[in-house]
Amino acid sequence: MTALAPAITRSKEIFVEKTSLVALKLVPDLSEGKQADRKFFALFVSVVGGIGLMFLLLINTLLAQDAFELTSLKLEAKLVSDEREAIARQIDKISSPEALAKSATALGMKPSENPTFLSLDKTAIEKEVIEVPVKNG
Amino acid sequence: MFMFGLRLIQVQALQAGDYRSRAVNEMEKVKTLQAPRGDITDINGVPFARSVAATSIVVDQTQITNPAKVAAFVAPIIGMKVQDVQAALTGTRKWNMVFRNAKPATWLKLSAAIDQYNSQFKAMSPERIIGLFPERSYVREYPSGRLIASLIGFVNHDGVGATGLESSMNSTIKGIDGKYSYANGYKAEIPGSQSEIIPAQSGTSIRLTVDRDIQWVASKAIADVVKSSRALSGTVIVMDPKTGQILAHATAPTFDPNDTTKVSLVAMRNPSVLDVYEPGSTGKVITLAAAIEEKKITPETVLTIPYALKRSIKTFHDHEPHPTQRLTAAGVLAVSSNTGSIQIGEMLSNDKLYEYLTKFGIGTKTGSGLPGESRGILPKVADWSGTTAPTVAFGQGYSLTAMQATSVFATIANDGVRVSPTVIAGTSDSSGNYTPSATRESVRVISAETAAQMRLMMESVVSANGTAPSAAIPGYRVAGKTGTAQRIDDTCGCYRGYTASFIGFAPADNPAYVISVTIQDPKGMHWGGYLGGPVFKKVMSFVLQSKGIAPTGTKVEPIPLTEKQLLAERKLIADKKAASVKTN
Repeated sequence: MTALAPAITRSKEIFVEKTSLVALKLVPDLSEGKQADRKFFALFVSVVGGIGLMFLLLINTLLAQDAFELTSLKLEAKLVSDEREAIARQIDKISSPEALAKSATALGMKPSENPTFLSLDKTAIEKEVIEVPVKNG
Repeated sequence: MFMFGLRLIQVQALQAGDYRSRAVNEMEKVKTLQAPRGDITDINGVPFARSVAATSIVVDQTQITNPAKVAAFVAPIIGMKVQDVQAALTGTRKWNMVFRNAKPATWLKLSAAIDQYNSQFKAMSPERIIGLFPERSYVREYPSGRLIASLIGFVNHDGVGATGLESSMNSTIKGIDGKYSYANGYKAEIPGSQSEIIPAQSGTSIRLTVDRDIQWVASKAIADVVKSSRALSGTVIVMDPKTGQILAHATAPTFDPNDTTKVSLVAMRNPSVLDVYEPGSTGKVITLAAAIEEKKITPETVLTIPYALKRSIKTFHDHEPHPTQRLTAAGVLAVSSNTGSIQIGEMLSNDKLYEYLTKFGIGTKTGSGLPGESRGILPKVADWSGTTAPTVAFGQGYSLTAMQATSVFATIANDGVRVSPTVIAGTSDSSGNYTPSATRESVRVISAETAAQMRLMMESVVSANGTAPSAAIPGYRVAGKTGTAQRIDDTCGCYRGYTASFIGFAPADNPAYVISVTIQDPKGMHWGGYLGGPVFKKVMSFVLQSKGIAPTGTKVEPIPLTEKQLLAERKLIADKKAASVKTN
């Protein structure tokens, strides 16, 4: 082995020379010194985020608008209910027995003092009012 | 920069929770959702009492810059005095009442007027009127006014039932308030921020058995007679004897539950169940029914009827002097003889008479459920003196309410079965589901045969020979009894004045309705037939017409009232029989 030592050493020197030459071989410079471009990505993310926020804003605006409309409709419902109660009061007043009696009297009608019924054979069942002296007791 | 960073960390990190809860407390509020009370209606759903929306007008006094000017603007619109409004607007309170429970239309009118006035000024101008706000609530309204006030009652300032059914059924009628939370913005709730925590639940509605139209006729009739006779008070009760349902419950005087500020406590009472009185001659029906049921007499039993009768230390008289007569039991009832009733009552032992009084409901509540109902006064037999039994026999010596008296006659009308009266037909919950009331309790008091005989005898009362021909309704068979009882005066503990009454039913052979008329302490003419008969006729005529009750078409075979009539009738029957035998 010692006889081959100078040959091995020389081989190693030649190998190192050749590999260093290979390692130092120049390669083509594609970017000419520039960094990779991230602007497009940032713009894309911004646009997507912006659109999303706009949609969110739109939805919230619509919700708020509907909430206002709901409140307005509820108020309108209350007003309608109040109006209905006011009309019901007027109807009660007009349809009350005293109002009906007054209207009937104004038309010249008189309340019936004695009930009269027609029998099935169309004859009226009528009786005279008999005036008698009242006895005490 | 360093200090700024420290402060930022302190506020955003360390004290964030504290600030968040403070913000929530200031912004988030919880408000009560007021629940309306249930309605009280008549049998057809016509409201007697209902809850309607009201808008109270409140003020933040700190926002009123010129109370005099604002009061001068607001007062005429809402119909208040300027000085009253100014007093409400002046001060430093954040909340003060200006107009409680106004109609919603009043607030709308004011709000529109303020908006129009403010439109001429810029947004933050001190000339603008601000600081007035609405607060919605419910207020109780009584559309029928005085018509049935003593039965319905009214609610007090806090919306709690104070008298009548409003009080006794308060726990049923009142609703359950709810709660909701909201975010508080500048002077208003932020729309969409409301969140219901507990929903409000409307109260249960009550449907009465009362018919408004019949109630009106009865109210008018009793009010007229109380006024004309200058009486203390009067009641009319219309009852269906089969079901115990009360179709009318009228009292006079009465009050308007829409305005109770000047009404006396006496006027607010329900005399039909609170006031007790000695029934007088209407009590004779109990004595006679008991005697017939116990087979002591029949309607044709003849008795010797003197004008005066001495029992123990007292001498009892009939209403009018008369020679000694020979009357049948039917005749005793027709002319309302006290001495005759005493003799019939003596055919029963005291215990037996007491037993029948209690069976007819004297001394116990009727079960109507009306608030404050009295059980009346019936002394125990052990406490009866030598004159108690005779007195009780003709209807004095014990006290009852008008409701109890009506129930006695309803028992006779209903073939001897007493049904407890009621004014409640059913209830409707907040969802509108209607539940009818349970069938009333009933108890047999006398046999159907006895009841039929009593009804026949009572028809004589309304005949030309009776004490109440004014109660007769042409074409119909009517039965009843008058009463003119001496009245106990609480101030002296003595008898002073009278209670005039008439209680009857029609058609007598198939009773559909019972009507009692009671008039307390009438001045001048005070007879039951004179005062009560016409009222009965007026109300019963209306009831029969409105309910479509036609005459039965049967002919009454009047029971002889005197011995002479009885003998004549028997002779007639014997002659007819002999004639028919001869023919055959």
